[in-house]
Amino acid sequence: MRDSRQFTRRPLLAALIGASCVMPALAHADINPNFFGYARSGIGSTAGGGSQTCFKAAGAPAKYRLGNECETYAELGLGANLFDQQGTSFDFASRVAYVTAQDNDSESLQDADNDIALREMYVTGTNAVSGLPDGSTLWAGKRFYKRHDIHMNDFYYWDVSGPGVGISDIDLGVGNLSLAWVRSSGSDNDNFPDQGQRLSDDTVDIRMTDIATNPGGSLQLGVDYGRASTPEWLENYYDNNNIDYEDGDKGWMGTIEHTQSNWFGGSNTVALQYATDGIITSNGNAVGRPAGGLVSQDGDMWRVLDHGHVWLVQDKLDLLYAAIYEDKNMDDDSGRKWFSAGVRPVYYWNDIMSTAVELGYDHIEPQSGVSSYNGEDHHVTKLTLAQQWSAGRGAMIRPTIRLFATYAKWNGDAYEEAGVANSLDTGSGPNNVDFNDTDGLTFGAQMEVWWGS
Amino acid sequence: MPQRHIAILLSGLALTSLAGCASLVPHGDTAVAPAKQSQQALAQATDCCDTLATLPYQPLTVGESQSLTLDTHAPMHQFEDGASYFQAFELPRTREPLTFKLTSTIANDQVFAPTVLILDEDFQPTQRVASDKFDYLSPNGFAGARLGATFDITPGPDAAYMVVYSNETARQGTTQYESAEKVYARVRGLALPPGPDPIAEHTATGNVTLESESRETGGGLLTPILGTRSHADSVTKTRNATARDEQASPSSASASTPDFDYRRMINAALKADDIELAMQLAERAEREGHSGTRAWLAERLRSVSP
Repeated sequence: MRDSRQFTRRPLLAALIGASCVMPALAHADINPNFFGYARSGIGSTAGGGSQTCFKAAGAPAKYRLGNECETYAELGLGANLFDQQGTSFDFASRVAYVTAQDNDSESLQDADNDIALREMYVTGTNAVSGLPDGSTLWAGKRFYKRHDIHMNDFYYWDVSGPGVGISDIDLGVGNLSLAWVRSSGSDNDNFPDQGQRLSDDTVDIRMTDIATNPGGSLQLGVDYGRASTPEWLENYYDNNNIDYEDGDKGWMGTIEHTQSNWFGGSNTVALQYATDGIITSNGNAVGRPAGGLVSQDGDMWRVLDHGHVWLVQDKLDLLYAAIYEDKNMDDDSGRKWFSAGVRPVYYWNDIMSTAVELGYDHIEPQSGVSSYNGEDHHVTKLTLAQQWSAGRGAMIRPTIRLFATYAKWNGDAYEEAGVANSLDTGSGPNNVDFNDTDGLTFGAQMEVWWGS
Repeated sequence: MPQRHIAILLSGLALTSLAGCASLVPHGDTAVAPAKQSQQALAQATDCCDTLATLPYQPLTVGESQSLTLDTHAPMHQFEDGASYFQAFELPRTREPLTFKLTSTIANDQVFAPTVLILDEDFQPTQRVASDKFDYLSPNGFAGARLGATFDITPGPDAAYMVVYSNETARQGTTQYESAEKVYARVRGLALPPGPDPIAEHTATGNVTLESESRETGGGLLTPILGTRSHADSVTKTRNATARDEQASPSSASASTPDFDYRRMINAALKADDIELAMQLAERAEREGHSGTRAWLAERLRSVSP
């Protein structure tokens, strides 16, 4: 006899409904809020003077993050199960994100480098649409949508988050089908005289997940099609001014991903992606949504990556690893090739204290049209040693308080001039290494925490 | 240049895989083998004791969290419902209501599904917290997936000893749980890891933590209602913490406070449908010398029930 115990994902909060009750007693439902979130914050300095410099290769979409984050970032979420009856449930979730430069005590969220942003506000209805397989979930509102990331360098390689609507996790037997329509508007400041004209960039996301392939392994296939939805008056304006928008405002991306669980105590994920034109994000790390703003972005991109977590010695030594190769080939030669690799072994002295080392390498080979940073091949290597105190053992166990020292080395001058990138990106925090330095050392402390269930 | 990078990438991947094959221990092996080993070890272990009376009881220190050794080095006894490794405790003789919290961590797809047995002074079982009373608790960023239960015991002649073990029926069961990675993904709005949730086998050994605290030090429901009397108690106990266990022997608890109307308080608790509080008040009244309160409450409950 197997007495299987099934967990309840969320507390059942709906009011007590008697067997004789005909009307759902929603008006009397108790709200049991679910508080969840994530935060990191700390303090750091650059050896030689000044606050902490964070080392990121200019032109790279990401940097290795251990001992290399210069901002306070937090997401505070509130949600609740609002209805749970006869197999159908409705859940609400919201999330606000905060970022500050962690310069001093009172930091206005309106100042440069600081921000407060509404990231999520949505409702899911699980088994709300009758006739669909169990688990199908209808949703609407703005949300983080099935984001795929590499934790170690904070790189989101498949992220179409935003306001949207969709139905997800329809169990078709061979896998789960999810369909979504999401939005990431841009503004055409370059071509339109009245700045801030919004382009409604729509993305349709279709993905099949949980396709079983081998024991512990599953495949995920996805296609995203994005286009800028332009109103007629805007198209007339483009036509009258000979602006080519037809090619640039569309794009699609395909993703094939395989995840292997039971992989030396952790998991391994390998992904291959190809994208065209407007869906290639020109900068930043949120790739997979339309470029927005750029009405004419032509080119293609392909990317292969592998990342995962393994236990080298169970409960004693684990390892995060990542490797990425990306070739962004733009028709105006503004693209680049990016190679990145990193490892983060962590040795656990006991349940609380651990020592982490993170070695990361980023190499950028720009196309000939790049002018906003070092147009030559350049690379950044960073090495961090951190002593950590955490609520347990394991790569994703938080909260963590860590003391760190980070050494980075790169080729070429760090910056061209104040605020202008050369080999190092200038937007990742204070720029406190000298212009012509080719290495730097920082030290500091940071906390990181996530909570919720 | 791209070819070189791809070569590096692929060789890196190959190295990772090869290194894995050479030196890493695949997860499956670590998970299943110890489960079988501990079951085999249990089958071969010899019974430590002839009767429940001869189990190795340790004194229980209230207010502490202790990790119970429930591995193959723990004592084993053939309980009525099966053989099991166990830990046994002698409850303090204070007769103050205690709250216990027992958690059993899920690790490597295994968990010890505990049963708690309460014995009277004569080592006869009087109460049981069965393994199915333990709830599955999801990982939350501060603690991993685990089974947990909270229960109240008022030590006395009917509750003098406690045994934590796992019976044979419980060991046939399994617990499906969520990995910390999955909860992290949900909390961060990431794609959930694919595949079904892992299933933990109920094993003969495990990691169990027992926490206990006096209901009075915890404050809780009783403090505002019992008012100054409760305060006086806790002040005395704090001042002479080491003598605490010996201080309130059954006979010394008879000093009553005539001005305290327990029956009125019990009536109020019943009115608020808080039978648990009513029962605690009755227990307390009995200890304070208001004998007959328990019987009076039982009568009241009988008249309230349909």
